[in-house]
Amino acid sequence: MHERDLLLARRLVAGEERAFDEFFDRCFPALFRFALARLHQDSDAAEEVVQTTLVQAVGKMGTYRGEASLLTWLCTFCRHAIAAFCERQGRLGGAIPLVEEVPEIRAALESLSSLAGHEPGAALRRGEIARLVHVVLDQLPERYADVLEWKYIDGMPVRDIATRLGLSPKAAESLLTRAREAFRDGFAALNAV
Amino acid sequence: MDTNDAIADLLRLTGPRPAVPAERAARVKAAVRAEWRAATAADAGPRRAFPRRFAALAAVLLAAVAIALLRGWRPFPEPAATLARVEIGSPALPAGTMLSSDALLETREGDRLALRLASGHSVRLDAGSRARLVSAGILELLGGAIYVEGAPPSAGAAGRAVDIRTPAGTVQEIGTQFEVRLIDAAVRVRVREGMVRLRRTAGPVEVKAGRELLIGPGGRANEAPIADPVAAWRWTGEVAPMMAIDGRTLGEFLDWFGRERGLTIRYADADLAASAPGIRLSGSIEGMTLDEALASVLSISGLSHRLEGSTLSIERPSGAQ
Repeated sequence: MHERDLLLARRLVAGEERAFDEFFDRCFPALFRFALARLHQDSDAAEEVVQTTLVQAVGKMGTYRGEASLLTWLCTFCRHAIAAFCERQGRLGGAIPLVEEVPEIRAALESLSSLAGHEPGAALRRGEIARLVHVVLDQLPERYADVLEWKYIDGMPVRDIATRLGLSPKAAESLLTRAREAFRDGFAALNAV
Repeated sequence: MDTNDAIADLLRLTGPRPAVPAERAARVKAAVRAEWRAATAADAGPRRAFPRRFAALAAVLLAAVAIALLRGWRPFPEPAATLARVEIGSPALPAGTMLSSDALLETREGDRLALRLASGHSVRLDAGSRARLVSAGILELLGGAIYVEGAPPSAGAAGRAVDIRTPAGTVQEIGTQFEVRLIDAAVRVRVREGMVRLRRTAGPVEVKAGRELLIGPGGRANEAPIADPVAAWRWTGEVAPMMAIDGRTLGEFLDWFGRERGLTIRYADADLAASAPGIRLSGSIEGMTLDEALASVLSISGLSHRLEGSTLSIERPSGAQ
């Protein structure tokens, strides 16, 4: 059960403005990248599809039960919106084979609960690896992707991450450890396909 | 190399996730927020006085619903938000009909339809047209022609826009009046006021006031001035919902009339320009045509008019100086 997402959905249904900002700012970038990869990198198409997706989703937010993460739930709407868009435009965009579409992988990304012990490999092409890394980051629980990017891409010290998040250095280190484990799980699951 | 080092290397190698352009995010956020507010407002609904004698019965019903919910049963379908109201109806969709998402709008030959969206936009369908109301800000044109007139600034709808989806792309309003028509396999966009943007795979195209854009079946775009503006906008005036004039001023009425007809209003002299706009109107023009409404309102205001091209001149009747 995705309690945090469920709570956010309830706040949205109640009309809380801050909840809307949190929902949009958290979900839009990941959903946009999700659509972009399936629409031949057509940004205009992705914008239209994601807007349709989010409009449908906010109208049905009362039906969200927290059984999947909010992002996974939105991706379900988004797949339909992409299919409808491609049909309307006479495109074949929805048929792009993407490895994370495999149901087992989606399930693995969804749970991210146990260590797989699989070291990330470099067997795939650089571009595809980058895309998959970003897919895994988008699917991680809240804050995990941010702390990983801050630490390993921006080179931010743990004490600065702690300050930014209002945590103690020890709590920030613990968060980073959990983020690494979650990332390793997600990426291992993708590479196992 | 341990796994943590590998993760660090992998992240460094691939770099940060690509950022979404802020302009796109802001545009989508504004549109989705508007839909979300409309949905939550509709769910809240109007509160009505509740007769005390039904209180006991209500308590029993509430208890029954609570038990049913605990058992996982949902007694009522999710309420659908009202997105638009029919102002000028057809046999299939009479005036006053409230529309929610996915409503199919259809007119036969001889019918026309005018809607008012929750945002204040006026949307009109020409005869023999089909469209779908996707959401409060999106319509999909399936056949015939659709006309959109932006909400007046007083409607408090700033920031909201209406998109029309077509096979050639999405026509995005930028505070304007425009028509989109499907002609066989082509799409024509005509702009009366302001500007629209057609978003499509081959890249966006912008169309300004007084011009029309024709997108052929192969996606080829051809832009030109509208040859006969008066004829082009005639049908939209014939299906214009009448303004409620009671308590409004002559100036407000003439502004509205000018927008509907695409005319510039001019007063015959400075004295008239200073005094006439403030004349307070009463009564109703419901059921009249635009021309009848103009004649009626000017008559009760003691004025007359003369049409010179696209300028409507407001004058005192001869002999009334």
